[in-house]
Amino acid sequence: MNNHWRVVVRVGLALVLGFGAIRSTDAAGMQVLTLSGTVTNSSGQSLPGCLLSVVSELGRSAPVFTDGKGSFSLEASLPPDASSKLFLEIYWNRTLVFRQPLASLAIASATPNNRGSPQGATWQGLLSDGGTVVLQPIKLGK
Amino acid sequence: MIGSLVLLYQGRITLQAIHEKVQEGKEPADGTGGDALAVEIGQIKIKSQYPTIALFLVAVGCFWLALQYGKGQRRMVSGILTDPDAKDYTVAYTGVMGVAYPDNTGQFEQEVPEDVHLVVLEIAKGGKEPQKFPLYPSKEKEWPVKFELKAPTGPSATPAAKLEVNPAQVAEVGKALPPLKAQ
Repeated sequence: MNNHWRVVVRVGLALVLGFGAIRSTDAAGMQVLTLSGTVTNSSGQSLPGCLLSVVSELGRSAPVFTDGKGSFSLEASLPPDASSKLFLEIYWNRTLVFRQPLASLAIASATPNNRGSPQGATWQGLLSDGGTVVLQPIKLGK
Repeated sequence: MIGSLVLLYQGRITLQAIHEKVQEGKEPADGTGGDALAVEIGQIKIKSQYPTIALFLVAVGCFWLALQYGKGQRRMVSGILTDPDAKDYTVAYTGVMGVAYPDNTGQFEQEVPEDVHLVVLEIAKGGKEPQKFPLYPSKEKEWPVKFELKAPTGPSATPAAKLEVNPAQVAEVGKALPPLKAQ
């Protein structure tokens, strides 16, 4: 019976730890960053029909087009591993014309999810807690 | 799994092999060989004298079945774009995270989960305002579905200046990033 108890305890412990690990990964991976802004060419004309997506080594957000005024709004789930770098990519037809780290883009205004965060509306806080960011116009081309 | 733990705790199943229990005189020897599990599918024969292992195999079988049902089926949603410049356009399958590129004849396709009832296709090319086309895959009778783009109106009717790619705006990356179009 002692052996039975040992097996029961070991298997029970494995189950509890296993489910615990899955739950914490889910909770950490659910932060969402909402990005919006406009895309223009170098002379400031709005560019409709550009395809934008946020990408990291771990995955890619659902791509969205800029509308008739060159405006876009997209949502990106933030990876639990903060060290994985996020990039904003813009495609003109099938050509990649822009890829820059998200943290290098200029913010027009931002509302972090964690308003009490000492970092405030900085990329560091936004990329760890999520939030809503309006980017300054992105100029494409020469 | 929890059920098997309870049964193990109650002593209704054991970690002992059946033949050991027979030797101990705890189980009647019925002459059937004392297998806890015996499955024969064609040439494949699986036998176990350990009731817990048999129960585990049954649980694995149930888990595999659940996975098969949970995976869900996928269906191909295809279309044809009736536009002379069809191959320049990109088709975004909103909500299912897919992107498709029409070929020279304007045909494109993308797999979507079968339980998706509405797919909104957004079709655009650089400098043109995207156009949306809702599609109900289960109601479509003929594939590929024909899509005709409306003539542009409003501000985007004026063609945007040509975009000259500035290579300096495309940052190099150390590791490969996931492609835009699912492989």
